[in-house]
Amino acid sequence: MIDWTPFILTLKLALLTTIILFCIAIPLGYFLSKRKNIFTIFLETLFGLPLVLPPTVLGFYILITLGKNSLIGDFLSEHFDIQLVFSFSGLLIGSIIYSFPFMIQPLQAGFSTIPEDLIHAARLMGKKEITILLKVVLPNMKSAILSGLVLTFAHTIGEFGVVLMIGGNIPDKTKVASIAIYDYVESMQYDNAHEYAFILLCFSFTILFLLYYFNRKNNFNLK
Amino acid sequence: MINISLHKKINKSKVQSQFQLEFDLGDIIGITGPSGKGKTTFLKVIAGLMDCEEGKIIFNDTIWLDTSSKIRLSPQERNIGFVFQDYALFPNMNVIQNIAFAQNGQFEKGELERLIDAFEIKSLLKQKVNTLSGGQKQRVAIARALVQLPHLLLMDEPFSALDFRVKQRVINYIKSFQCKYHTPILINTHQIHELEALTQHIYELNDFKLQLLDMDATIQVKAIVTKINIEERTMEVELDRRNYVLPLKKDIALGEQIQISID
Repeated sequence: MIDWTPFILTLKLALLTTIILFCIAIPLGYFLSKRKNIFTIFLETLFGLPLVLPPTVLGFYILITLGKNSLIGDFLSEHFDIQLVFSFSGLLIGSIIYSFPFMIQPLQAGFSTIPEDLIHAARLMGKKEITILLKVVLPNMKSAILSGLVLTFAHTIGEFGVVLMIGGNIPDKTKVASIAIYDYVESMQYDNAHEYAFILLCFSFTILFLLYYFNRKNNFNLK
Repeated sequence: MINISLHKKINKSKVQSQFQLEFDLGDIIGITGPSGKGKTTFLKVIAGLMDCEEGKIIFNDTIWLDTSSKIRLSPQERNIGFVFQDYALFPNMNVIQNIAFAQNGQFEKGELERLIDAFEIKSLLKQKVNTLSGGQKQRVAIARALVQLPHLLLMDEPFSALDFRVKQRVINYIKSFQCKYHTPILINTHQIHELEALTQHIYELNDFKLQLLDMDATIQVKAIVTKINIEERTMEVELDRRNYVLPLKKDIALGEQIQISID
């Protein structure tokens, strides 16, 4: 009988990471697509780092930053009795940082494809900026939004290094599916590892297939 | 009364172009001139979509822009209808949704039906805008700007994709709209003949300045020779997508660009 707890934990982590990152990346992606200066290039580089750094490097720095001996860790522990390291909340923060480029880059690219005159036209009609964002900008970058959501979700499901560094391997708390597979392989339980790995493989294939399928269908010609 | 005085550098030019214009509510003003001289920029500065080095725009005692006292109303506060050269229709909406998004509540339903009929877009209302032809998009863009019942209507090359028959219908509707609502209109075009049916107030943007054209003067335009009939001693020239038959000139070749005078 398969223990589904690591999968439920994985889905919970992926879902929360995707929702939180979406809310952060919409205003940030819009800002980055409209301005080009040394500050925005610095931000782009910073946000792109998880793409090139080994997850262990990122995990190590997050561990140091959030750990009990750090300024933030100490403050949270002392005043709110919150311990981020080896907890689901810490895992979520690590996930958000690690998956950042997978959300921000498609959204930023999506914002840049919106012709400036569309926004101008809506402004001249007296529409507020939030109305323009919701009624004009976002509906015309559905492909980019779908890419950001699906890639972030899928990438979080496949996370391993950062998760292991920050969350460890605590059943029902931080033991997500990828860690469970590692655990089974280490203890030579190849049948269990195979079950988990195959489910993850099928799941990832399906969501990527759906992404490519809907992106092709939604391919707007803005001109 | 609308009073516009702007100084703006166009296309990284070192010299500032000067735009001085004064007109009344209900006036239709044409602006012509070669491409790249700043006609579109001029309209965008009036609309508040671009900044200028120095300038003042007063619309009926309301200051829209005054760089010296740092007053600058946002585009939302100016209520300007703008027909963009590239139409700027919203691809996520169909034709009627594009129009409804801009429509002012005071634009009557009966008037909307008349507009849809005049612009021949009734059969297109449920179509997504990216399935339309250039001419159809242009008609929707003009319709969308009109239903907004703007204080000022700015049109950038508004008839460039329309054939002669449809252009006449659209121009006739704009004239009747103008009579009813007295909306001042500024029209940019490099096809001066398009303006003659609408207005006698035509300015030319040249040498970094707006200059009023003398409409009684002869205008020199360039046309292409498309047909030569040696027997009848005539030639056909194409001008503004229309053909004209003229007496044959000596030493003229097919496809040649010639200069002709229009009174």
